[in-house]
Amino acid sequence: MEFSEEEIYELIAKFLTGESSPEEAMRLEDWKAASNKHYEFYIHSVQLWEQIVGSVHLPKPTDEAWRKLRKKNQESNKKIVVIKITVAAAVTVLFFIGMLLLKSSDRQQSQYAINLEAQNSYLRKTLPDSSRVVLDKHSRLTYDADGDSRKVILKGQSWFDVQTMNGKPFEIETEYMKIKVLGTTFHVAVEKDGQSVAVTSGKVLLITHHDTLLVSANQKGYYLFSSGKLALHQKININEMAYATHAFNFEDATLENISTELSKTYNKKFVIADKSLSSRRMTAEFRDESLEDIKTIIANTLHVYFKQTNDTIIIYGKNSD
Amino acid sequence: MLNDHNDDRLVEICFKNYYQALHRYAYGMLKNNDDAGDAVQSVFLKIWENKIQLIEEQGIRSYLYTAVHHHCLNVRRQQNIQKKRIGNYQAPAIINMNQLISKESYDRIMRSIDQLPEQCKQVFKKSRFEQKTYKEIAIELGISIKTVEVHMGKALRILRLRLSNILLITILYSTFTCFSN
Repeated sequence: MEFSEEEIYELIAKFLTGESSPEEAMRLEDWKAASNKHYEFYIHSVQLWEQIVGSVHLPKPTDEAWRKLRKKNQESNKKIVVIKITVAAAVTVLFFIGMLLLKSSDRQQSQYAINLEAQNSYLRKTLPDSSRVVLDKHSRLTYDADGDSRKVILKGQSWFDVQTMNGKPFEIETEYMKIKVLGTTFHVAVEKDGQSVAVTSGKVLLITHHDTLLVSANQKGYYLFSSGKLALHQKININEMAYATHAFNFEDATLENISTELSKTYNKKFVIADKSLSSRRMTAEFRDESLEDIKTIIANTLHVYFKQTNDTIIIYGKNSD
Repeated sequence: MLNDHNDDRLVEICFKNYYQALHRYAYGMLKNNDDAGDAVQSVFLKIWENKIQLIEEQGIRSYLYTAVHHHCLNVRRQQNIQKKRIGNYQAPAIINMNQLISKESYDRIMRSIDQLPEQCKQVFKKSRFEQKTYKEIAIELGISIKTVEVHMGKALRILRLRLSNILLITILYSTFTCFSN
């Protein structure tokens, strides 16, 4: 966000005199976070202000304040009836863009780190903590755990089913974000215009300097490269993670779409011999079925048959049709 | 089964992420570190008691800022009622003659304030010494709130440019005292 010099002085003055609306306070936060120069400008103004006013902003250290809050909460919990709400699992995705790049580059690996690399096929692996990952093609992952943390550095795309371990968070770092996980199933993908986290169970909290977003099951949180903003999509496409789950949802999908999805997951080339078949449509859900079974269902529904040669599957129309 | 634990983690992560920034915001409104701390604590306590539902609806950051804002406005309203009850007699909070800086620097600041353009100076002094809100200042001087904003921004700019070396001296001075202690 760009401001003129006058505007930024006005914004800071309003903030320091306690006149800012929440929106203005957030706008200033964003401006401050945008560059070191902005940050220094702000700090310099604040210091000057405090000299003029003669009192200093001096918050308690965060950890101390947090302990105080927790104590207060425990006290009040004794008094109120706790209503349980259905939060199956809370996952926290923290974006520390920039900072992260620095952090991950100087992170030291312990000797127990596990390196996984998927080249032309998917890599399915159960990690030492029983969490399952399915790494997409041409993706890389490093897993490293010690007494109180589990860390993953991810390059590319991957599906995760994370096992909860109390007090031992599971963290994933990608180029764009940091994901803190407590136990849930979700898919991290890099898309054309952003990075996405599609949640199939549990909850995910996305935090950036500009925005915060809670993503629940069957929703997708989206970090847009262009604006740096977060967007919430109310629908997820489970086909995008089918390479990991072998679950498909086809809704009035053309044979062409279906064969594209299947080809991605099963690593086979699908060729539709007769172009007029491409636009035949069907609706079906497949959950962990073998490719053979899926082919049979499609064959019966769309009146086609499959011929397999090495890694290519050719689809023909049935003559009787 | 996982619920409570995960709610707690969610609150903890939000708190640790936003505490400092929210405290700064509340401090601006309440001009007191303890009150600002209490404001942030009560906002989070409320979230915790009502569980996370509250923050699911809208963005968490925007929820938190708005909640802190409302809380601080309430506190200020109560403080004003109390002030009125005690009576209007109250020495204007003469600012604790600035332990932050030397007498010389303080005098320089006061001189720089006096040298501000007339209306700018009036506005700044009402804000700074009489702790008046922008709205109160606008009414007293018969100008718009936007004009008050402009004058305050201008005052900050001029003072920052004129007084920036005071800062440097103070920083050096405090560094020096740190080391000598």
